[in-house]
Amino acid sequence: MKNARHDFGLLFRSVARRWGVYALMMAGTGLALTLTLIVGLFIHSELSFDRFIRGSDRVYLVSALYGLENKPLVGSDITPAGVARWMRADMAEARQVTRLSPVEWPLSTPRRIARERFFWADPNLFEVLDLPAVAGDLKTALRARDSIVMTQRMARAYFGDQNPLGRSLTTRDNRRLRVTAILRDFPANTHLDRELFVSGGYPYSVLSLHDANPTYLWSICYTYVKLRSDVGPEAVARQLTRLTHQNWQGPNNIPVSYELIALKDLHLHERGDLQMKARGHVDTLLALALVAVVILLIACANYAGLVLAETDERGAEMGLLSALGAGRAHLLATVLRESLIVHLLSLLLALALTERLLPHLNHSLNLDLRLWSAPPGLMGLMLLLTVALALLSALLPAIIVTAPSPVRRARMRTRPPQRWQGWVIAQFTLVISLLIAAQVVSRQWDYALDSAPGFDGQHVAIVDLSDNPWINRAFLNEIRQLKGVDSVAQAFGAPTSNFVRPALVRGKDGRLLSFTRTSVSPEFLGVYGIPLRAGRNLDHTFSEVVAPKDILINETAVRALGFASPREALGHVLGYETDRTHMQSRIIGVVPDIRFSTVHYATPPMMIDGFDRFFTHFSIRVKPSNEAETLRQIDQIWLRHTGGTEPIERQGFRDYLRSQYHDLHQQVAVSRLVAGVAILLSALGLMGLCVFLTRHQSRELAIRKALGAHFGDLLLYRIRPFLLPLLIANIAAWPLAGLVLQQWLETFAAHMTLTPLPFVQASLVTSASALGAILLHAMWSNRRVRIAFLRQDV
Amino acid sequence: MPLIQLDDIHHTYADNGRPVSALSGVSLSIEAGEFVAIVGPSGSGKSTLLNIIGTLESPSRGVYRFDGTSVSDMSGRERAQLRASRIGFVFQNFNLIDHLTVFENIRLGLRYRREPVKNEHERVLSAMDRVGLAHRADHLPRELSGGQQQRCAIARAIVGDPQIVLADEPTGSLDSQNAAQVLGILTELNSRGTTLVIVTHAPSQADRAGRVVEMHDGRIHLSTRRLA
Repeated sequence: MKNARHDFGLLFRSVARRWGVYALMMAGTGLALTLTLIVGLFIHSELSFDRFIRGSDRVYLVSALYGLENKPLVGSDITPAGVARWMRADMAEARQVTRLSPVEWPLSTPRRIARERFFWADPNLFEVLDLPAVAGDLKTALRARDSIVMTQRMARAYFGDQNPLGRSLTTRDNRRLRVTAILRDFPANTHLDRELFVSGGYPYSVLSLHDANPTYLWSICYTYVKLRSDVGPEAVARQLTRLTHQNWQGPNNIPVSYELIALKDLHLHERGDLQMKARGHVDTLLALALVAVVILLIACANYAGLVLAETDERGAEMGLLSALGAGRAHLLATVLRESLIVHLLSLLLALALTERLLPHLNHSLNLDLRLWSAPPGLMGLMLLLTVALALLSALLPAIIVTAPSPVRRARMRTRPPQRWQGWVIAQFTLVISLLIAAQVVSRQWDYALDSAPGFDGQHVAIVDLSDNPWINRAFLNEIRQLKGVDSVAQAFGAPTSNFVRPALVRGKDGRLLSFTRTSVSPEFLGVYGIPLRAGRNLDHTFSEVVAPKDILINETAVRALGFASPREALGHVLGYETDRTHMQSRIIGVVPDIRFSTVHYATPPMMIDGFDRFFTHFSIRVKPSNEAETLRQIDQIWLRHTGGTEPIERQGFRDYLRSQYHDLHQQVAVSRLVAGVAILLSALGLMGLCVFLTRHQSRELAIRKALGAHFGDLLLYRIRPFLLPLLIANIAAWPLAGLVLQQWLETFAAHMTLTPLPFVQASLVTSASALGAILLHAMWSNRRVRIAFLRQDV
Repeated sequence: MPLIQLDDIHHTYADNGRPVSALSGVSLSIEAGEFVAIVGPSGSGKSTLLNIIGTLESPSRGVYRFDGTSVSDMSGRERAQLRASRIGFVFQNFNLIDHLTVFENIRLGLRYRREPVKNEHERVLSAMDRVGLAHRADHLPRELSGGQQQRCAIARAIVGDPQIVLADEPTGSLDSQNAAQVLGILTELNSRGTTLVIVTHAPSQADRAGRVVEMHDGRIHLSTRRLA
């Protein structure tokens, strides 16, 4: 205790004397610890997805696996509607099975009217998903057909208070839903993407519809199962495959098998179709952890470099203490204790910085990272890490400054700069690699938004259709008359929305091909500026449940069907199986491979018909002049036709696209943050190294100054030792980053081409920041190149 | 016109935040070809005066003219150029660069001239020859004796044919034999027309100067011109 007080006293006096060096030390270490803390919080959040659901290790999402002719199986988070029914009836191993079906309907209270996203839920939902409740009895909450359960946040939004038990919301058909229970707010790290649960017994719910019609198989339906403790998920999946084959009454696209994914593992499970939220990736977490470790090592070496810069003064101090009888162990302990104090102060700085940064990070990345509610284990780990870092950082300098012989000490400290060139190379290799990575991730993001879609989405607004066809028709007719509207189309989903329907097509050689179907109005090609490769456009829409007479196909479909050219496919009659029927349609036109899914998926063979019952969105091309006024008029027309009962859901096409790429957006932000911190740290480290070198070169710089060297000459002299390490770092970083990033790009079905530009830019930025740091230090220290050094003894 | 003209020079520096006056109203004029010795007790301002003459430090107040040109009005770059082309320095502790050979150290005296230097190699060899170090061209400073190191420093100072050589206790680190040899070289340099200003504690060296300037507490106490 006495020693610690003494060290604090010494440290504060030392800080006051050399505040610049200590500011660099704490800034560098604090920055590295901040990044590590944020990475730690993020990894913890990713690893604890859905852990707030009690028993998340024994509750499974049933994933259906599809595939053709030994191709890799593709998982889907939704299952055929019959799965829950078959399991309940014939599978004793499943203790409880429950379903959720997502829906979007207008809901209202006097306080709020919204086109709300909620789930139809089986009454036993909360016996499977054990969610924390704050009011009501979850066991019985969804039994009544008109019951609704919501989170505290939604309760506040609709009623203004957190416990509106017994109060009602009104649905679009003027029925009432009674609030029967309130759930504690969900954390952001859950796969559930909506916070209202309406009883599946509601007369118009999809679940009721399926229960009443056992032959209906297809709808978006998530199936959860809680297993008996003596049963494994693999055995249940195998049994479910058998049950499916026994009960299947539909056409060919039967799931090949199933996989039961424990909720605690769902977020990091490999990508599946129709997932509620974008999944995380173990590789990303490993890469982040690795980057954090490397950043800590950089900070560690930077600290060591700065302490070594103080070697002269510290060596003299240690020599004096040694002369007064202090043993080497005591001297080592003194340096290490000082390092510990500096690192603990840096940790405090990191905590404060993290606290300030998290709200911005959470907002921009849609996260919910919280510092003070982090588990004690994580904070303990940070503390341990800080102590380890303190010891590691100070070990080499401590050994040098406490070296018993002044001659040996001098020899050890006069070895730079050669000794440090290796470190500079390693540090800049990392920084250049991270900058290249940040550039490439950003470019892939731009590619996904601008180039990948294959059509012109500028000045296109997307508006969700109403459930009322009369409103849609009236709205469509009126907005077409607006001067500011260029053209309007309707479609099933919007491009890149993953809204597709399957169809199995028999190819010319008899092979079964998996196609996707979508439906658009004839204006669709015009709105998005999509040219025809061959043939003609659709000329009408239809509503009858019959096979569409005419269809368009894309170029991938032309190749898959074995036609030599788009023109050759024209007039061919295509036979195919949909979910319920066999159909035949004539190919009248071929379009390019426009993207109806995100870049994570390859463009499939596709057929496009004009079946208007599937339309879900308007696509409105607005004239660029006076765009804001036209959009305001569109909103007013919607309001007039809906009477305010249904708020308009409108967004610009680019915003719509951005929402489709949330996971990629996170990667862009994280890579930029990491690269930014790395470059800042390297600049700080370089400044430290400059301080170090300047101390060693002060006499030489003064000699050169006396001989007529001016600032520019001395700057060149300081820069020269860094040029070769910079060059070597570039040579090392380019292939390293290129290899890793090419592998990352391969995880996308469609990706940008890796060009030299991001590499060149990263090298230029790194070189500029390095030279900038040296210049800054040179300017700062130029006045310190004093002639007094010429009077010092050698 | 004198080569060096100092009028009412003051110089103050901060020591732990407190202003300390190093020079107080120094006026001095040195003609081209003179040999001036500056003497005085420690802390009297001798070295500060030498540094100001050498443009290594700028006076806080007063006017300094070098060959008629006001040094106070010069930029840092112009002062550096003045040092590179017209002033040579010799220091008590030699101030050679450890990792450069004798030849390279001497060549450094031409390195920072802005105009191209003709016959650089020959000039370096000639300077080495003048101080008797021709056979030590490839040696590092640590391989030389103290006297040889100081001769190397003198060669570096004179390689560019400066108008003035400023020597700050040039023999302070040498034994009497080497000190005499170094002083001999400097005196011979002066006899060829190079202005020489040395700061010294040794009366025997001051006696060889044409003029002795005695300093006390930052002021010139006495300026004595020796009769030829």
